[in-house]
Amino acid sequence: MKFFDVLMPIGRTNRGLGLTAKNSTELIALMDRFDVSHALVYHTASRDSDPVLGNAALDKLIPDSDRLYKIRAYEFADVSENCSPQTFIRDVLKANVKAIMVNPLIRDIRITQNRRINELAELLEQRRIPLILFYRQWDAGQDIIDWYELADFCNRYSRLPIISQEWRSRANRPMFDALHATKNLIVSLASIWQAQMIELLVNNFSSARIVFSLGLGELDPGMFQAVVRYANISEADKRKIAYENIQNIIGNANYDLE
Amino acid sequence: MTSNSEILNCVREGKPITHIPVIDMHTHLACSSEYYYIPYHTPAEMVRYMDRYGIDHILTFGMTVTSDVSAGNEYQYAAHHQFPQRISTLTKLHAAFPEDWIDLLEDGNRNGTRGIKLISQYQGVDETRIDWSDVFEYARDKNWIVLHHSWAGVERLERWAKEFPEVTFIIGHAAIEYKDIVNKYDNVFQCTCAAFIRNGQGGRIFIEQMVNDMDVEKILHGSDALDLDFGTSIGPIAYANISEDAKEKILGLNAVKLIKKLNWNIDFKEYNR
Repeated sequence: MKFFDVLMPIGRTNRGLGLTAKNSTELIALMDRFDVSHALVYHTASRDSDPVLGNAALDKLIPDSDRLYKIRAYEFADVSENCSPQTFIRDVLKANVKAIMVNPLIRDIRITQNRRINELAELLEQRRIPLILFYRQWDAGQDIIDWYELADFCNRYSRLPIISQEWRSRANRPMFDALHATKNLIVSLASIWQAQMIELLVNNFSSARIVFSLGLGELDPGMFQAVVRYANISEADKRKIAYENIQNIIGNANYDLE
Repeated sequence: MTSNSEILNCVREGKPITHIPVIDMHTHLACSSEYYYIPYHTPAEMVRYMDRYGIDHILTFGMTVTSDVSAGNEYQYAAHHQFPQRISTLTKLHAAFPEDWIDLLEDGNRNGTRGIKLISQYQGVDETRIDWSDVFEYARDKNWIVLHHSWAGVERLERWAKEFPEVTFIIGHAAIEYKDIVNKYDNVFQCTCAAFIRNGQGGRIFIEQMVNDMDVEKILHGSDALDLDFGTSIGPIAYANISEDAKEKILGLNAVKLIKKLNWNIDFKEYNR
């Protein structure tokens, strides 16, 4: 079974592993070693610190490839016309980007209240381009997602695929509530370390609500493949989590330049 | 080293690892922790979960860490009595209540405990101010293990290892800080538990760093299930750039050797997977 990693980093970061790739050659070698056939790739600087410079670095490092797809982060604090959601999406489509990332904690904002993020989500929803909400503080962070606010946001843009990620989602009860209250919230497996949670989520919410990631750059990249492969779920559900869900999300999105 | 790995082949196919013994020296049984729910948590469900991975035996301890530990201990003992060949237990103590320790240990002893689990860091007590001497004295003639979440320093663990050579001390979570005393003392072992969140040097993953720095025969596999998934511990070992011999020792052979030394009376041939 091969895997499609929805959140593959390139670049260094606090608490990051030394084997995290610094360029596309290292990235492909890493993917081959750990059974990852395809990846959505972001630059760590775009998540942690500076979306604009991180995006620029990613463009230099990642060539056009049938295995690597770019994630571009959005700077929602810049309200100038140059950073309007319309301009941003136009640039994204030109650059062959497949998913958009926002780290709400980079400026400590509320996603339901931020004007730019909501404008962006509305435009992404029209095209069904996936939005990745990667909650990360400088020290990684555990249980930093406000699941109830996230559910409200998802329901506001109910046709938009929204993927959540944080270092570790340990307090699982509010996550269950958010999954129950929404249809378009999808969680990254890399944030769910707990035993047999994959079975519980599939049995209660369906395998369509989980996408795969190795958990790099902070986590050993050899663990979540085993979590999927040994899970007490059907082979069809394993394939969906491993790669089909994200393939379908990208396949259903409209990336056409108008 | 990974390309011809039979263990990695099993993991890649999602098949139980049956060609070697697989022992997990750091697990928990509970229905809930203080802030998260634990699914599929009965002893029977745990054994079925172990079978999927090919895990022969687990050493388990409670998760009522920040509260009354006896409720969690009772759940472990019941699991041990139900599956004595698959589940062994340690008795958990609350560091803030020394007056309870000996009663808890006697209860554990009556229920076939294999030793003691300590986790003062979660119990609001400064580990460096705790005198565990009475506890280890109780354990001295019983072939017991003491596994600690964190021993709070090399000097402190070395003191215990020297004073109580009959007791087996396990560093409960992956570390290299204790490598010198792991290598030096026969009664000190290192667990791999949660190695996945730590970084090795020079691009190594942490399991590779542990094997590089320590006597591989002193490294024991531990997962933290049912807190963490078994895959989070077995996967990194399977994918690690270490020899197959090292993987086999870490996953089970080292633990089997220790279990035999401690006279746990477990017959590995009698398992019904």
